[in-house]
Amino acid sequence: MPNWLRIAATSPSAELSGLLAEGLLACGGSAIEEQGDTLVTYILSVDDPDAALDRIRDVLQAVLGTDAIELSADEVPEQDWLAVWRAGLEPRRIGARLIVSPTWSEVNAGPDDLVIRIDPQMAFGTGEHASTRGVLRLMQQLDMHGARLLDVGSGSAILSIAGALLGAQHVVAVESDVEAMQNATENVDRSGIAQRITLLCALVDDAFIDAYGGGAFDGVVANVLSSVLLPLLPVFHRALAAGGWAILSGILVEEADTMRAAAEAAGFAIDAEDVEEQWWSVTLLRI
Amino acid sequence: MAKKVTGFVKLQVPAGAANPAPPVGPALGQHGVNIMEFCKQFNARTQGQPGMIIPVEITVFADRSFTFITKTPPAAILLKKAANVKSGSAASHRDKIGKVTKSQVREIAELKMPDLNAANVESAMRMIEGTARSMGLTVVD
Repeated sequence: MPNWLRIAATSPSAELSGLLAEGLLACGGSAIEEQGDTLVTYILSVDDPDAALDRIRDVLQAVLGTDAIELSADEVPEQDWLAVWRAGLEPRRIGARLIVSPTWSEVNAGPDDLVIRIDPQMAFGTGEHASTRGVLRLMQQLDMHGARLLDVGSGSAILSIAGALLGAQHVVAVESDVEAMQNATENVDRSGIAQRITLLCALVDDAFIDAYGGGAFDGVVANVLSSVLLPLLPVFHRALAAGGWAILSGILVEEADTMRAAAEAAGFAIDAEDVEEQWWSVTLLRI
Repeated sequence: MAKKVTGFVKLQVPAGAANPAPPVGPALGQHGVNIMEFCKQFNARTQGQPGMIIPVEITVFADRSFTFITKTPPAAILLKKAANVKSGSAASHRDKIGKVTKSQVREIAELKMPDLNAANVESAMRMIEGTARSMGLTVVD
């Protein structure tokens, strides 16, 4: 693999930084990384780095019209960052049955295991965060068969896919971020159970629940921040049928007491809890 | 979702031309970002601005998901293009290398308004004029 010459340059003034970036690209860089006031690019290494640096200095001087440019170069070995990224992601078992895996990995799944294929992209929910794992563990403690689920802030749709794999009859996955929706669509399409998941780009509020009718869902899953969850507790209560449940996550351990009190005030009982790192997840039962 | 930020990367990339070579690869790879996915999204979002250098800020979250915002091209590059000059000036206060009109400055100020800490377009124009002067450009009516 080729080596690279890493070029770091600092312009004499912030105003000229744009011209410096243009000059570095003219020297053969494909992009610039800003590291404070210093701009960094890479060019393919050459036999004589000092001569290359002189040539770059000439180009930058011509573009900026000044020689007051701090410039340095050092050789760095090529590294396959795509391979590094891929190697850092492996199938991850979460709870007794669920395995979250990147699409390129082979999974040694047992007959009762359920595999969710997710590659980290623009949307949150890859199984790499403790709050996602907390919900997935709590979901496996419930009987999902035949359930109608509402996934609030569905991100990558990891929880929706898990719900459908665990037996939910149908999942309505609601996300307000358009780019997350694109990612969710890819994940749902490859899940093999797309017909049981409806992706909606929307916000969950009273009007949304009115459209479905109160009590239209047997379960709610929501892995969002507690500041978003707290005002939604009465909305979740309306959304749920008698005996329904809600699994909430994205709550810091120190916020648990506040959430417990608010949930009880909204008509829920605490059924189960899960803690990983500083994240607290909870299953609430509708009273 | 419960987003804990674990990385913040600032790049400048030619529109529609992001690729995994350095610096994009190492800058994002060390934070666990899906490099190809970033390149695909960036190129799709900027393909309508050929020839422009697009500053982009990438925020990386604890689960390796990411988001990014693109900024407007640097003022100095827009001014250079408007003035049709090849370089800045070695002694900008003394040696003038070209001219830009007030209306060109206004156009650039309006384009850059979202990224400038300016209360109104007149204030943004003064910032752009400052950059023009530091490059050795004269602003004319």
